[in-house]
Amino acid sequence: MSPAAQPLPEGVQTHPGSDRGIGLFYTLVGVLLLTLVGGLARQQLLQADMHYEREQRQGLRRVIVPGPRGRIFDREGRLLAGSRPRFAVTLALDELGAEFRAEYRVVRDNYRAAAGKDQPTTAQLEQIARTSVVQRRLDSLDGILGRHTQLDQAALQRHFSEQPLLPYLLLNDLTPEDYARLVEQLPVNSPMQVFASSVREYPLGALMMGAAHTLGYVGSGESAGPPEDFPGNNLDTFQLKDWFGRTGLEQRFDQQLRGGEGGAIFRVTPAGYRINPPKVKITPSRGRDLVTSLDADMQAAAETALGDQSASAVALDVRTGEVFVLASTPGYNLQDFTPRATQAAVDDINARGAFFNRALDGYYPPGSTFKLLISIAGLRTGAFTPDQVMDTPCDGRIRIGNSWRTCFNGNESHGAISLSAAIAESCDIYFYQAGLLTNPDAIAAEARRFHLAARPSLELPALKDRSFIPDPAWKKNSGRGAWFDGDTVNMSIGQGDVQVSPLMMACFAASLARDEVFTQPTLLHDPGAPTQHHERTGLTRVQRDALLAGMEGCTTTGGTAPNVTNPKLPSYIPGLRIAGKTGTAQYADHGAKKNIAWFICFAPAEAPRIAVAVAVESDELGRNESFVGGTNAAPIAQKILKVWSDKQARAAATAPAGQTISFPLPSGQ
Amino acid sequence: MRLLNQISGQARPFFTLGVVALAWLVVPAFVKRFARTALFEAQAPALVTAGKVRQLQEYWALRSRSVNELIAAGSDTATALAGYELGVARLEQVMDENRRYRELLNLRPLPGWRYQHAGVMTRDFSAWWQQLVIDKGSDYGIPLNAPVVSADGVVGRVTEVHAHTAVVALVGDPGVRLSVVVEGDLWPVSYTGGDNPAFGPARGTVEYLRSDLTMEAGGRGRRLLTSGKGGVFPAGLPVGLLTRVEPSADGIFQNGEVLLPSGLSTLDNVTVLVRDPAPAVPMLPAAGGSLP
Amino acid sequence: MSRAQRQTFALLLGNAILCLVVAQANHGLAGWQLHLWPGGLLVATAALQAGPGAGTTAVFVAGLALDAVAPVPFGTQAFVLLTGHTALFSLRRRLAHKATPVRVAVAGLACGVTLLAFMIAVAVAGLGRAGVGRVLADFVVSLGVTALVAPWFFALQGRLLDLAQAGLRAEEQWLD
Repeated sequence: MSPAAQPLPEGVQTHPGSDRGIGLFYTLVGVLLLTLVGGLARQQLLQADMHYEREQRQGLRRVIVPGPRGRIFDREGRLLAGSRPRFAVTLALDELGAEFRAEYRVVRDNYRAAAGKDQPTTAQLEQIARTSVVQRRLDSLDGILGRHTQLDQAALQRHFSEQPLLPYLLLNDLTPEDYARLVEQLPVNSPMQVFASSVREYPLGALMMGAAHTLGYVGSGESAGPPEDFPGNNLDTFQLKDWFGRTGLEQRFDQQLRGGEGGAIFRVTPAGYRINPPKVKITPSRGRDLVTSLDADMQAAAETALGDQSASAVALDVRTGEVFVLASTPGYNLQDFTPRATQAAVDDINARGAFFNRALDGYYPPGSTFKLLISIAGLRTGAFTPDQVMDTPCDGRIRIGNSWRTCFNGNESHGAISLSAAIAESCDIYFYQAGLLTNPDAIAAEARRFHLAARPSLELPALKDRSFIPDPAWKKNSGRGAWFDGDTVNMSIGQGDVQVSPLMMACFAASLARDEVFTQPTLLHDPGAPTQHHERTGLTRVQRDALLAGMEGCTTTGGTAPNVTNPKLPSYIPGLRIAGKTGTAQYADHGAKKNIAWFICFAPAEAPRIAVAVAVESDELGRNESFVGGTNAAPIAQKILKVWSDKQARAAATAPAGQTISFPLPSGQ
Repeated sequence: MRLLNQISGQARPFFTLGVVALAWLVVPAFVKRFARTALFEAQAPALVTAGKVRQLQEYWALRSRSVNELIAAGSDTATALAGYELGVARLEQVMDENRRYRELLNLRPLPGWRYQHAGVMTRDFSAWWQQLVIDKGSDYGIPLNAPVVSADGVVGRVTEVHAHTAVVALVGDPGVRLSVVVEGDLWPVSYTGGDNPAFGPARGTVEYLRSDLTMEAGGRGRRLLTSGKGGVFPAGLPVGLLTRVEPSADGIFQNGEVLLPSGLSTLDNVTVLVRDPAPAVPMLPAAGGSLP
Repeated sequence: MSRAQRQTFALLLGNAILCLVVAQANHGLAGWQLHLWPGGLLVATAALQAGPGAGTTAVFVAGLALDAVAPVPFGTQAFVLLTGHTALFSLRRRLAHKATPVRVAVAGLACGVTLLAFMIAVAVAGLGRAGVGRVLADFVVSLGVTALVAPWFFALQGRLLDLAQAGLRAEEQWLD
């Protein structure tokens, strides 16, 4: 009787005795176990490194994110350019494999059932299936957000062929409300996830369109890659694009503004899900902030005054050269460039010529503003004295060589006048003779001494320097023939080949205010910046007084810009004495004949603090005798001065006695 | 041959397991759904009965209180009720004003809510999920995804609705995500349920906090409230306390840690907010109802 | 009704009672953020006290019942328990499975293995995430409660099988 057939007592167990079969079985199991143990040892001991590396690569994903860009402030700490979050929804295509396959079968069966002649290829069926699945996902988002979005099939196809493992951007630029709805209504483990990145924002973009050239815009691009010390160089890496400054301060200070890259290394499940917290986390660092010397209030006032004219205005701190205003119109709203400008927006800007920074890259003949330089050149060379009356009094015209020259200013006879009156009334007849007395080489030399033949450096990328001061040698060497008196008289009223930019004329005005020959402008604000000192003009006290009297006369009754200090006008600035000079010149812009109206000034005349230059272009039709600096440019400068003056008054009222007025800096500076 | 028979005999259970697994894979989804629902409904009466038995226990425990205790409790209740009545009157006035302003501004009327109170039949807080089974289901018109609140604030949202019961995923569940705001701020941030350590209150995390948001030094934390912009929860319901913030890996925002109310793990009663299709009218809780 | 069917029903009844008790225990433990895992007891009793068919059916149905009230794909816990049952069943003949200490040890071991398997299943399928500390705490509590409850539950299952006249025959104890 076999043991199995016999009842066994409770709790007693038996084991079958050994036989050949069992022995063979044990041997076989032993061999299998040995093989297993040997294989395990080989894998664990000999190939451990290889497996470790493979596990690291397969189970880890590295995400590199650029640091937020530094901010740009005006001199009073107002944000001119910052970063705002941009929310998007991404779709993890690699999680939709099963859904794609199922949809492929449905689409294929449908086509087969239709039995048409033109059956799509496998690749076409795959594409249709993918589009259908992704559109369905998009529809589910639309259902939550209550809108209708059409899938960009070409973009999806491109993404799928180029980077299928990276999430596909389904929706971009979500509003906070959209983002909140998706956060609450999308399942946590959905392949569609809300994703945040940063884009530039310009809170005052609409108010400061004329400063767009100065601030500049950014564009996205591939970054240089993670820093060398960033771990996980052998891992699958998802790197977000960085923002780069393309123009203006954004470009010039790109290195400073760009943040330090950071990121994280995440463990992922085989299904690709991210496991938090990350294994390695390196927090990106914000780029360094930039405090500009611009004053948003004055800039906005300048732009409002410039309106939609083709014009520019520059205002400088006389002592430090800090630029308060650098406005060029027409401008453009930098908000149109975030996250990127549409082609329509770019076309519109191009059509308006708004990309051109007139304040920096606009070169025009300076017109009568150049008479200040003629005066200085003449006085310094002793060609005439301040109270000297020219041989030929102004009766409206004068014969120079074989031709008659007209006095373009005032349509009247200025008569026999001294230097101050000639400046105030901008008498051309006086300055024709003053120029001839001084001689062209001395004038050119003086212009160069005042740095009017070369653009001053500014912290901005700029086009080619087209500033120019002609002289007899240049004319001869360039094959244009001999220098005539006609050339000198043209030069004496800032016409002909003389070319300067509004920024240069603002620097010129600031230099005159300090009685020096140069002002170094800067767009960076330094509350402790010292007063600049350069070579003195070399004018005697009497000569300088005559010059300043002429400039102040220009802005008072009888001058060419009397309205800037007219107490009867609402724009009047009580107590502010302005020393200025108007100018109007003719020039050709791409073959079109135009006027350029100038006004340069500094104030207060007795203790200058601010210098302004305004240049307004006429259109071709508007070129006439009434388009002049006193009417078209001076009021703009006055509006800038008005804001400046109000701020000075407010600062003086709030500052304790004896305390130096300084502008507050943004926190964290 | 005998050996082969023996081996195959040993492998048979695993072979069977493999066959069952394969068969399971080809079972149609609707069959699985039906089986799941059937098994849930089969267990529901037991869960509800157990819950009701617990409620009965509490009832009898309360019956054992002395008359003096009951009088003291009644006095406390009367005081609280007087305060609530005052609050209700003020609320009615404010809601009336609010409605008038909305009419003046041509704004859509705010959605109204019906408050459906429910008892908690089972709490099930595992390492991976945190859920409650409540004793109201489709029989009381409980909709899927409906917000669930208690006196402490947000409890969670309805994830399953059955005939007489519903499952509520707690706000500490890692699968629950809400749009919230830090009290005093308008910027919506994303709250997600998080790790739920043993012997302590549940925790959650928030993402996309503004980088300039700071914690008050020495303070307990900043309150998180529902933003009301997510389309599920009304605005202003407390979610938890933001206790810690740190810069996020993207460098744009901060992440934060949220401490959830400890009362969430001992809830016995909750209120389900059911969106009322009718235009907004001040819907006040019925007498004795509790609402934050 | 066949003997195997009676055995299955007896096991299912025992499992239902266990699930109900564990649900109530979890209700109470929620206040401490703890959770009991009943997998060890379900697997061990079926594997040590029932035939292959009845055990498999009872464990699978119990797993599906657990899945029905949990936010995991239907079948996850069922297959975790079924795998544990299959493995334990194949070892049954080598265990002194009538001895209570052995049963308790086996239930404890099964508790740990099935909980670990469930954790891996959840992680691999990306169904959720959990802190290691919390899983460890749940494991320790589950292990302790399993050890305490195992003698009662084995006795309960044995009594139910006896009532159903479906207890293991002597020959089944060795040769299953």
